[in-house]
Amino acid sequence: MAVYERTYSRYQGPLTSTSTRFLILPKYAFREVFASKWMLAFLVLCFVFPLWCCAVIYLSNNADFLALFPNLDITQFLKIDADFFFTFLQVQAWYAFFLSLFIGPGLVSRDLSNNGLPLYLSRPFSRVEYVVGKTTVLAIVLSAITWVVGLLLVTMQASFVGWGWLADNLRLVFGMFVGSWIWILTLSLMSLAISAWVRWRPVAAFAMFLVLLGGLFFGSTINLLFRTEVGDLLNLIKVIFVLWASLLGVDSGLETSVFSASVVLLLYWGGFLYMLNRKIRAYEVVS
Amino acid sequence: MSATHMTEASPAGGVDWGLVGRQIVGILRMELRNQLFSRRAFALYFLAFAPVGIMALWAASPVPDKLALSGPIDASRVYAFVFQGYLSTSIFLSCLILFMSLFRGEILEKSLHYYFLSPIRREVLVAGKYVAALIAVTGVFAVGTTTLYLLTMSPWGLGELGRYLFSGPGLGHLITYVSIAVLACIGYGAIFQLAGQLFKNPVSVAVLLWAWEFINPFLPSLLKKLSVIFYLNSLLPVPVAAGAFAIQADPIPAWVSVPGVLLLTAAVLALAGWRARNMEISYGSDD
Repeated sequence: MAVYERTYSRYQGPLTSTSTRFLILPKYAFREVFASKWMLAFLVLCFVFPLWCCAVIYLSNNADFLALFPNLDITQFLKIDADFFFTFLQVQAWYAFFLSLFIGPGLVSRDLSNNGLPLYLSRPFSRVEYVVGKTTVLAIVLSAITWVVGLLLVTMQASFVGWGWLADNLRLVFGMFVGSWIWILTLSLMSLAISAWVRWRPVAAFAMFLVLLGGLFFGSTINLLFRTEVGDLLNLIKVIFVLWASLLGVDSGLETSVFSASVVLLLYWGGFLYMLNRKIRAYEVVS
Repeated sequence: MSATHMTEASPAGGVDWGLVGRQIVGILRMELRNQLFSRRAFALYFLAFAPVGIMALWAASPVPDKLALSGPIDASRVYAFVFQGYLSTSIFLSCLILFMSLFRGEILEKSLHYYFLSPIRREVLVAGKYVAALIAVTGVFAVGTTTLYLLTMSPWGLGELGRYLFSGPGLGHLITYVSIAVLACIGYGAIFQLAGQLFKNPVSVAVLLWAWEFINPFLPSLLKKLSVIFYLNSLLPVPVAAGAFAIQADPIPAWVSVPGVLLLTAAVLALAGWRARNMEISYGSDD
């Protein structure tokens, strides 16, 4: 065909439904994420503790194993209750943080540093869909190592003890699901917001590290100097632990109230959303 | 003979140290401006002076009475605790951000080839960049450590502070703390500079090193010696309790720990120089 005959014509192919358009982003992002063997290895490592929990649940319900210790009440050590699942979530929270440290910063920073945002936003694709799409990448991976395996463990325990146990512990199911999502959303928003502002991937990861470590250090210094527990509110991990303890109905061992922890978390979310709103735009003014 | 060798070799055939010195001064001039007055420097100032701000609030408030501290001697125990956090959080993270971005930052900004095209030996470039970052970070943290120390001891009045400093152990302790801060910058700086040269994504290295330093109190005596923090903690004038599960190990005397850190630094810098000599830039894969 001669060049002069190449005129504009509208795309005639099938269109992706508007409701599922954001899923295009995870589809391509996963290819990059799982291209790294180190990432895959770390993801496998994230399932080591759930596997250990699985063994504990199995052994605590195994009559032959319990019979090996006739003079010892082994169930005291292998007690499967809300505290057990609280510990499970606490451990997986750290894995989730490190996973988001590796995956999160590259999600937005590449688009921004290569001026790729106009390419997304010049299409029928909104800023909200962009953020939701990028969040979905992290949400899917982090869900797999938090609430999905958590609920599998709950199901395993219920299948051993009886479904009545599940009915008695519905709060556990709810707490694990909602608690995990709180952490997933926090990590996703934090990594997207930081990587939108700090465009270098490694520096963005350091900044995430700084938010967590800095909160830990500054919080404990304030607590020590002022004989208070207010410093715990700077520590994102402790804030989350307070909320989880409340959701699961266990004692977190912290004096921070659920209300103040919720307010602080909402402030964090608000800050991250504000940061995203400032940077995720189809144009950029370079001064 | 290449241009590099022509400019650096003296007529007698040896290295023209005068020229090397002038080249390092030239690099220092450019790098110091980058390290101290760029946006990246904000993290350095925040990490160095935010704890100072908290301590200033503490010193100004009537809280010291509530802590039942009798004077500067008691306060030195509080300072020892705060300094340990300062060392493992503020100094560690600042060195991480500054030294890792010495080469990695230039690669991400696609500007390292300007240095490589100029007639400077790569080893001189490594030394110049290292010294510039070291001057910036040690300067800031020497001021930070001193201010933090004086503020901790100040609530009992200037007279008591003067007596503690000049008639008691105060001045000796202060000099030791500043020396530890400087030594930490020297050791961590060299390691992070090399990591920035060796790895495309130095975050994994940083996280591993942080985890290793974090679990140091719980490691057996032999493994403790494979970290920087153990040698630094050995120099602390007021020891800090490591916690219930910590494994005690004899502190290393200063005449071993100081040269130990310096020798490690020299070895790591030599490796960094060798790496720089063989370094090839591929900007395309580093975003």
